[in-house]
Amino acid sequence: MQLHEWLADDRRQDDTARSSGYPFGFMDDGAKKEIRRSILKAVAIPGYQVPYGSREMPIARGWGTGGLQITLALVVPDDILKVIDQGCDGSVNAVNIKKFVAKVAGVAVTTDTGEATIIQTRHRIPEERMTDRQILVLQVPYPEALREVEPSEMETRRMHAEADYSRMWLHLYEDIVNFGEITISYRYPVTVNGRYITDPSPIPRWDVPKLHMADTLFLFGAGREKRIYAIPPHTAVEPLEFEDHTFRTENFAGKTCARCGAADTFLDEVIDNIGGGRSYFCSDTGYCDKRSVTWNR
Amino acid sequence: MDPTTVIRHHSTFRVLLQAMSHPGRVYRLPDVVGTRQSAVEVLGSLVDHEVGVAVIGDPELAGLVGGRTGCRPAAPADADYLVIGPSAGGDHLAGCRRGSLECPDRGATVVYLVNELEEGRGEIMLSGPGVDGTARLRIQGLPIDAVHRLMAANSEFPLGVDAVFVDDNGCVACIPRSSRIKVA
Repeated sequence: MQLHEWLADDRRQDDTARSSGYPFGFMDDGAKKEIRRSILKAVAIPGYQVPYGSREMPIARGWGTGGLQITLALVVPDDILKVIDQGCDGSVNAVNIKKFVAKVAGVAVTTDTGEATIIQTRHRIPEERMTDRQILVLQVPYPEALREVEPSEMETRRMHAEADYSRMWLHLYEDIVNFGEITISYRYPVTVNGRYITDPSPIPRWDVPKLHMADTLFLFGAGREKRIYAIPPHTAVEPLEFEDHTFRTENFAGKTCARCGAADTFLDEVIDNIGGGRSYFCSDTGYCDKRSVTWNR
Repeated sequence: MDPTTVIRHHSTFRVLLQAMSHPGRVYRLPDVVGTRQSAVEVLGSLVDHEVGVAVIGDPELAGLVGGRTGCRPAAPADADYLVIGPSAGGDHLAGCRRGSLECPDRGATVVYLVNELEEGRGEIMLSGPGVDGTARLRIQGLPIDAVHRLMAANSEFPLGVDAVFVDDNGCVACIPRSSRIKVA
């Protein structure tokens, strides 16, 4: 439904008739306004975690409430929403969030990355390059990248304030000494805009380069930890690396998706329980579906 | 609050978010004309009784903003949001909140009422996050001194203030503290 249709509709009837008894966007006004103020500060200070009063949602904390609150605070009736969970449009969590937002904001839903205006995601960035008219909302379990090396919030706040990141670098160095390489597979720490070390949420290494100088706004919401942060478009995002141990992504050389034949996507490994054979499938199901149609034609 | 206002606030904020993430680009606010109404719309989508707002140089607007949002009037030095009217002279950013290194988000947001915004030309050149290369912005009705004061307030990132400009045509543009400003 378009914005003007909503507004015309509103003059005729009360909102309870349309959004199943919920106010538009589900949350109360005070909550939405506070989240919006936090989002603006997050965008203005790239990579800095803005504290906010995370509200109770109809799903449990830790199941995407941070992302959901951001989506609900900025959704408009003309939006087309896509929700993915580890790349998959069809997982229970993604479907439920999508249904919920469609119910309380009346938005259309899609599985096509190109068509969506807001994409809420858990742990993946879509394979297709997104545009400046789209917003990617990432669900974040642990917003503090430095938590691995320092348990105290007061102390990590001081470290960010002073850009004192020596312990993080030491952590990576020790990894190299012990194992010959940096063993972080997901939640790979990045430096945003040359200032803050930031947790990119548990996306695989494969997705980290997509944050660098993107056309899209990335908003990160951690509902349980009550933090919002952002990476604006055209912002430098550099994974932490050493001159002699440079950052590298997962290597899928020689492997292709068994369904669509893609050789340039992030692949999930599936092991056959009976035969023990291994096959690989695109983690981004929307992209795989799109490709399968062309590939099988 | 009536549902029409709720939905309008969503649309207004969405435009504002686009403007804040693309410094120097000019966006049209939905369904408004006039500088004062634009300012009231923008603040309406963001502030309520929890927020301290200082309106400088426009008593009529102060009444409008207070009435529509229920915000708390605050002294400029304590305000979360500063609203600077077109006829306000002097340096209003000197004593305003710029946040602390631990909590830079405590820095104020400043809403300027100006005559006309125009992107792609003008003497203000922006670069940094949100800008592909450089962006040019012309702000008619804003003395160049005010831009220099904004530069001074934002000279120590992450400390600073985030500027929102609204004009007579109901357009909005932003200069967050992360932007590097040059005046040609």
